Amino acid sequence: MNIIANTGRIFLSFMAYLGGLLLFAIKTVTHIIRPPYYPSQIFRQIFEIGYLSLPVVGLTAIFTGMVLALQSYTGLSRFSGESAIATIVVLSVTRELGPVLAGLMVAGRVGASIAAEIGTMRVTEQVDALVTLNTNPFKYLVAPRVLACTLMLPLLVLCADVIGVLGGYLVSIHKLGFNPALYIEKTFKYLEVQDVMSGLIKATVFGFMIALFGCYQGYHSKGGAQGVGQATTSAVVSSSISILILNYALTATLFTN
Amino acid sequence: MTKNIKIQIRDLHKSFGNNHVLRGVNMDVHEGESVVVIGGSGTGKSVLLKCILGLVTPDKGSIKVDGEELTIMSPSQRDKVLQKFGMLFQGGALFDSLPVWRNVSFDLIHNKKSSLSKSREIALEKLKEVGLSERILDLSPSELSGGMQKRVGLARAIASNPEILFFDEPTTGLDPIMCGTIDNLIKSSVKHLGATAISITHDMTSAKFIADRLAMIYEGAIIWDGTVKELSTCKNEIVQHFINGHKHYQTSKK
Repeated sequence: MNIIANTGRIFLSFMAYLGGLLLFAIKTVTHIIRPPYYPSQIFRQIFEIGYLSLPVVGLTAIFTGMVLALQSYTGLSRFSGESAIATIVVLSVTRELGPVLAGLMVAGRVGASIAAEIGTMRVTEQVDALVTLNTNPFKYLVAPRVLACTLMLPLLVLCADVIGVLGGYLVSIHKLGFNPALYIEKTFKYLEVQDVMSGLIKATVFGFMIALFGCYQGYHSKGGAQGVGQATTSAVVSSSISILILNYALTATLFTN
Repeated sequence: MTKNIKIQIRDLHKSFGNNHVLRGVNMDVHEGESVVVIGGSGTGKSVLLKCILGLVTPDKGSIKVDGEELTIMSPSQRDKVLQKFGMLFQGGALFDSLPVWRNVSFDLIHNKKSSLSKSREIALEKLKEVGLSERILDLSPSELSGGMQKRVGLARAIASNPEILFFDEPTTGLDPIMCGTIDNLIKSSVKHLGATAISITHDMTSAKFIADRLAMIYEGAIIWDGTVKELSTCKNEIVQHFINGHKHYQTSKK
């Protein structure tokens, strides 16, 4: 009986969590749409989330592209299929690795910092202080972060796509001895707009989820430093897992043909 | 007291899970009056203030400000009523991402749409009112001492000339001299603004100094209220225990 009761309890609390998250998401979207807006906050978040994440995302992308070229070469050379390396690199990076790896890196960097910042503001009563100063915390704290992250992740992924392909190119030319012109031709030969677009659409969804989890966990954190620590961990874990699950769901439903 | 009732609370209840914090609070605060709510830790003092501000939704009961019922208001109506309030938080609750002057003029910049230069002037004026100098305008709150943070918090609370001021444990964690300074500042700013004030504290020296009237909260309800004079002659055992406990503590310290 205890096992059943516990399972039920876990299920119920999970559903309550999902419900809370959904309500939070709806509230966030309505606050993003409806005035007043805080442009200075939005620009600051665009700078912090977008621009400052560029080095991390760029590094991830270049090494991913490089290792992808090496690994595909190892596999493909076994049946003389080396000529497909350029296509494999560009399709893997744009459709899959760009959005997922950039998403995971941003979840670690930005999701954690959002949860920690809002969480600390919550436990030091700064969120309450906003209310007493006639400022809605959703509008001032949550909406700018979610908006900025949703807009910036696709741009970061676009950069990651270019840098990732460049990584593959560098390894293929300098280490594997490919012809540069031929490699570039192969890269673009089979690439379609849809490949890049599907990655960018995924990135938009991931960007929204990362900031949403960060804000949600931070906003509901309790009990001092420990609570903020827990909020940060949950934000990173739940946004990373949701990225992996949504990535499969989006690929399976929208982007396969 | 012939003045209008500014805040009226009737049968206010609030629970957190199994913890029944407020169990039917009844309270009237008249216009221009300074009421201090005393009581031990965990008796629901902070929750009471948070219910009035709408930071916590009460389970049952009525809260009226200027005759308007707060518990059934739409968020936009509530925002209008909230403009009447200013609050000094226990830890100051200054925004650490903003410099001191931006903290003080936060409401002016974001909601009253006043220009940055004018807001800075007003911030300086308010900081001077609480005895701070121009020097700290551009500092970050984390560079200030606890007492200074409290004073900046007070300057921020009074910056948009609120009709109602709340003070949450204004003297907790400060040295005795700073406590006196903060008490004086609270008294003078409330008087200066002509504001209605509710303070919550367990510091009796501070309470007797600030209060026109005291209210004792115990087990989630107001069990006694009266003036500072009436307090010493009050026969309520719980109130006496609360005050005497404090006195014993003070004498033993001497």
